[in-house]
Amino acid sequence: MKVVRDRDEARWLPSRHHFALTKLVAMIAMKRTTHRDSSLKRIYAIERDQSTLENYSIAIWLYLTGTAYLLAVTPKVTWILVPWIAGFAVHAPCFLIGVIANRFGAVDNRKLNGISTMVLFLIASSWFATTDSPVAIVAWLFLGIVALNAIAAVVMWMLRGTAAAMERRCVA
Amino acid sequence: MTRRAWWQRFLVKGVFWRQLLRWAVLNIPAWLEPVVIAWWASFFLLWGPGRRGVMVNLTAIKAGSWAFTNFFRTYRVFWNYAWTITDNARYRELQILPDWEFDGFENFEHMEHREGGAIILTAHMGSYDLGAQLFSETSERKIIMVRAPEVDPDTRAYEQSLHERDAERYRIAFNTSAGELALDLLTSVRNGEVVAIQGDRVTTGISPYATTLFGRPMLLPAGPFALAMTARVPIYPVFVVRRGRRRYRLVARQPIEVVRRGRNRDEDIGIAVAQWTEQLESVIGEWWFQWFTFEPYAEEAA
Repeated sequence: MKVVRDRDEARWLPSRHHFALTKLVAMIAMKRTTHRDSSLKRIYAIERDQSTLENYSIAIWLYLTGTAYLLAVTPKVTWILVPWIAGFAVHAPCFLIGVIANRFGAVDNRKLNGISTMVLFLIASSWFATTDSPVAIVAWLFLGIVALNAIAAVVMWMLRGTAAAMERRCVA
Repeated sequence: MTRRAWWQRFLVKGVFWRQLLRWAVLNIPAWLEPVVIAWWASFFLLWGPGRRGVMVNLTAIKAGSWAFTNFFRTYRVFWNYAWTITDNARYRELQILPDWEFDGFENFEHMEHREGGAIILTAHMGSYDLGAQLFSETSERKIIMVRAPEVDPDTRAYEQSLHERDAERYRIAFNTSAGELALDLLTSVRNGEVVAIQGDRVTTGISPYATTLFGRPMLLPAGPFALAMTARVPIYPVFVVRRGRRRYRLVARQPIEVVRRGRNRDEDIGIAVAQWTEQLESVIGEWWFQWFTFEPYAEEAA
């Protein structure tokens, strides 16, 4: 795996991000980042899931969305347990899909589970978006962010040359 | 040989949880990990002895602290532990390294460029496994990690099978018997190799040195200090601290010289142990949420 030594701007390399929307934000942030002098030596790993901001944002967003959906379908008496149950429910499908994929000989199923989780959230959001309850706002927000990411993917495709040049400058 | 009951694999130190961790690293998308780890860290708070052990240790580290506050601090310890073992498993399975920062790089370089072997003394903090892997990739010296074997026989066999895969990069020696290992390590240090030892826990069969940590009795292994004295090599205190998601800091402190000054060998070792405990107190005091000692250290010493 590639690493970059002592270059702070490497934190924002698009290749350290997973989703198009965050890649785009990272590209802008990278242009604005200046090198800071520090007594600390640093090694940055170039890996697509390395961004803390991106991963925490998505995890919290999915958790809150999942919690809102569970609150919408469970009776009020169980609400105190919902935040804890939601934590498990959000990743429970990964167990099921992962075990089935293992049966067919697949070992690394992160991508499959990632797509499956997003598809499940899309299906749930499409359904909740049609309801009259306040959870429809959460569902529309989810669909809106997905749409924004799709637009960002097109923009990133158009900027692919610039992104590659930034990568070359930093990783070389 | 007696056959083990099927349910023993599900005990907290059983092999099931190691296998589940490996499986999760290969199946859970990275952007879902914060939720997964938060949930499983809360699940493991049900582990009474571990929770109690951390809470008791916290009362020593944070004198005068409340049990109520320490309960939430214990969650933070479990949370950090979960991230650390996940990062370690990720490296093993997918060769994905975290970001690294080096603090006290000059001490690290001093160790790297000096002639002869060296001893790295570390603690159960952050990811010492990841630290060893980083060392093996950045250094030309061979590293030997000394660690306590797993209590559960299935877990021990599982861990050993994983370590065999890494045998080319670094070697792991299990400190089951002080006498057998001591000669082996002495030869290695004299051959210019680096021996990394966890210096904050004593296991059965290892000679202890009684001291105090945060004002409470503590047993530290005497072996690293005796080895340094015999081989005439310095001890480098090195700590691997988790700084955030997939981000670690390698803290290398100034070396401790274990010099034979007089006839009383224990007294000379005591001077070095005092320097080490001072380092331990400063590091654990700052990063208490990453000291992964799940047994009350003072009760063990008693």
